[in-house]
Amino acid sequence: MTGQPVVEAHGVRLRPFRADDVADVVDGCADPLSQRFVSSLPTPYTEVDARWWLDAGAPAVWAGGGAAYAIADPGTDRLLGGVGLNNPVPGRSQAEIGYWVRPTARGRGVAAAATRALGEHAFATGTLRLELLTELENAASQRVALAAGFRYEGLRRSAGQHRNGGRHDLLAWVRLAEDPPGPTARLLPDLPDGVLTDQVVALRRVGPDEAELMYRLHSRPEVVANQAPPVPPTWEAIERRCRVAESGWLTGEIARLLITDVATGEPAGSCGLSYSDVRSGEGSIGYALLPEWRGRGYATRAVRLLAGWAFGPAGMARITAGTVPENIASHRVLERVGFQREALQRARLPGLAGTRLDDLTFALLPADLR
Amino acid sequence: MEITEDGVLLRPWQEADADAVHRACQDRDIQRWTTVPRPYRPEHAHGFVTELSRRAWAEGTGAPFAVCDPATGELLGSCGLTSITGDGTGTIGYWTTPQTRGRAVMVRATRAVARWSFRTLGLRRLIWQAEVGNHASRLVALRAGFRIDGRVRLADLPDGGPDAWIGSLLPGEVPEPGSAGPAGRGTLVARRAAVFGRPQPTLFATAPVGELRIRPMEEQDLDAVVQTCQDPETIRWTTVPDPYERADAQWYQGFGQDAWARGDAACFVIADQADRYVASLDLRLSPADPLLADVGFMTAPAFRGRGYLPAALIALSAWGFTTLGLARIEWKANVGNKSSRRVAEKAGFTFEGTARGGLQHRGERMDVWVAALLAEDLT
Repeated sequence: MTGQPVVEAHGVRLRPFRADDVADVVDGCADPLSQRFVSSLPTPYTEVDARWWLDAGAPAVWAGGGAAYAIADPGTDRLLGGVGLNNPVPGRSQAEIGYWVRPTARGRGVAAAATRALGEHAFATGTLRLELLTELENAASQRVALAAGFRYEGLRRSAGQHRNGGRHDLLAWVRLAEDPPGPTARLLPDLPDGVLTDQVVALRRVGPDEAELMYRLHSRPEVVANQAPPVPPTWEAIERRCRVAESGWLTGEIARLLITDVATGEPAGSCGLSYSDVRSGEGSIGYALLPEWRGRGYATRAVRLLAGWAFGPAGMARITAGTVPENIASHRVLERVGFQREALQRARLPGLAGTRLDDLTFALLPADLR
Repeated sequence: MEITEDGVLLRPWQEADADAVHRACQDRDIQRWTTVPRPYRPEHAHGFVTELSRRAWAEGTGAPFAVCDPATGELLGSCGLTSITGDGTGTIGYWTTPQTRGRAVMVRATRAVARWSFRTLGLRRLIWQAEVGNHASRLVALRAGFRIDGRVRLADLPDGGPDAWIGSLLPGEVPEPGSAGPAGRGTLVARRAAVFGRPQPTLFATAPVGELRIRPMEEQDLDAVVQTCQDPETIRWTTVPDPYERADAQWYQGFGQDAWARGDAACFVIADQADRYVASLDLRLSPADPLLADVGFMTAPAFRGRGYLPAALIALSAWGFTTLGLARIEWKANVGNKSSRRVAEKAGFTFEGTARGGLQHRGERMDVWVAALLAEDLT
C-alpha cells in the first residue's frame, strides 16, 4: 500500500505491510494464541494466507474505510505484529481496533503501544469513539485495553464468532477522543506476586480449573442458605464464574479468590471482595469453607488477609459483610478479625418468591483489623 | 416477502405508503426519539418507501417492513432491520403511529421480525439501541425478549443525548406468538417504564402549615437552592460543593432531569402554597437491588423545623412503595445530624444502627446513622 501515513509513536512504527513480511505474518498468525483469540484468521495459517492478506485482505480493509498496519520495530523495521481499524461506522465516527503480536514480541507492551499509537492517530483524524472487543478469557488483551486508556463498557452477548460457526460473548472496552490516554485506573489491582498468604492459608485468584470444586462448595445447603436469594447456583454459572475470574478482576466487578491450605496445597474454600460503593470506598466481603476445613480458623485467616489487601493495594476505606442474623459461626469469624456489628437491616436483601430477608451488617475499618 | 403473525402483517414498503409515513413522522415522539430527518418532508417519506428501502432489500444491508393491519391494510408502524452485517448481526429499529400505541402492536411486530431474522435470514444476534430515556422503546424491546446489556457512550443519536441503552436478542429467546413473555403488564419493569417514560409528576402532601407540592426543580428555584447550599448547616451535614455557585444549582437541576430519564432517581423540590422553594428531596434507586432506594434531603434555612419535611417524606415514600414498587427505603445521615434524624423518625423510619466511617465527607470519614422504612410500615 502506498499513500498511507507511517505512524511512529510509543516505541513502535506502524507501516504498511510489505512483501518481505510474509514469513513474519505466518509466524504471528499461525501461533496458537493468535489462532485462539483472532477468530478471523484461517486455520491452518500458511504462506498462502499471508500473501492473500498482503495482496487482497489488507487493501480491502483500507478500501472499506478501515486501517491495516504492520507493527514494526522502529530500529530494525522488522515486523512485530499487526494492528488495524475495522467495522468503521462513519455516522458515529466510530471504529473497532484489533491487533495480534508475534510470540517473540509478546510481554513487552507492543500491542498496548500500537493500540495507543493507532488510537491517537485515529482521534487526530476525526474518529470519536474506538471500541476494542475482547474474549472473556483473553485477559492479556484486556490488559492491553486498560493500558491504552480504554474503559470497560459492557458485555456484548454473542458478538464473537467461532471458526466452527458457534458464537460467544465479548467484552466491550471503549475509549472516546476526549478520554485521558491511560493507563485506565483499576479498582482491583493484581495481588502482589499473585498470592496473599500467612504461611498457613494462601489466597489466589480463582481459575478455570477450580470449577468443579467451586460448584461442590457453593451447592452445599449451608452455603446456599447464606446467599441472597438462597438459590443454588447452576453448573454453567459456576463454570463461567471461574473461567472469567481474571476478567472480573480487570473490569473491577469482583475479586474471587481460592483459599488453599499451605501445608498440603489442598483447596479449602473461597472468598470474594467487591466494591459496594466506589465513591465512599466501601467494599463487601464474602467467604465459604468446605466442611472438612472448618473449625481451624481458616476463614478468619482468609478474611484477615483479604481485608489487609483491601485496605492496602485496593484502597478501600471500609469493608462490610452482610450476614444471616442467625449465622453465629460467621459472626464469630468476623468479630475475630475486628469487624463490629453495626445494624440489623430489615428487608435489606431479596429472598425467595418475592420475600425480603433481614441482614445483620458487620463492618471493618482499617484501625479495627487484627 | 410478507410475514403475518399474531395479528400484524409485515410487508416491504410501497410507493403508496408515502403519505401515511409522512403523516406519522410528524409525530413529536417519533421526531424526538428516532433518527428521521427534521423537519420531515414529503420527499423524505417518498425516498424512504422507494429508493432507500428498495436498496436495503436489494443489497441485503437492511430489511425494512411496513407494519399493517391484516384486515384493513392500515399502516400501523415501521419495524425492521436498519442494518445487517456480514457477521450475522442485525440492528432493529421501529416506530409506531400515534393512534396505534398502547395495543402492543410493535411488540408483536418486533417478535415477528426477530423470529424471521433468525429462522429465514439465519442471523445470529439482534441488537437494539435507543437513546437513554426512551422507555417506550425499551419496554417494547424487553417484551420482544431483548436483554438490556448496558449503556453505550457517544452513540449516534439526535438531540445530543450522548448515551444509548443497548440490548441484545439471541436465537431461542424470542417469545412465542401470543405469549405474555417478559416485562408484561403489572411487572415491576413495565410499571417503572410507564412512570419514568412520562414527565416527572407532582406529588401532594399536607403539612401542619398547609398543603405542599412536591415537584421537579424549576428555574425559579435556583436562587433558593444556592442560598440553601451556602448555609453553614447544609455545608456541615451534606456533601454539596463548597463554595456553591449558581452553576452548581443548574448542574443539580440537570442531574435531576437526567436521573429521571434514566429511571435512576426522582429528584424533587418541596414547594409551599406560594410555590416557594422549601427543600430538595431525592429518592435514589439502588443500582444493585431494584426494590431498594435511599432518600436525601436539605431544607432552606427559613423553613426548618416546621413540619414540612416529615409530611413530604411520607408522601414521597408512599409514592415509592406504591408507584415504584419499592420494598425498603433507607435514610442515612452523619452522626449528630439530629434535625435530619428527627425528620426521618417523624416520617416513621426505624433507626437500625451506625455505619462507622460509612461516608466520605469533605475528605474525612464520618460515622453514619442508618434508618429504614418498609412498605409494610406505612400500611
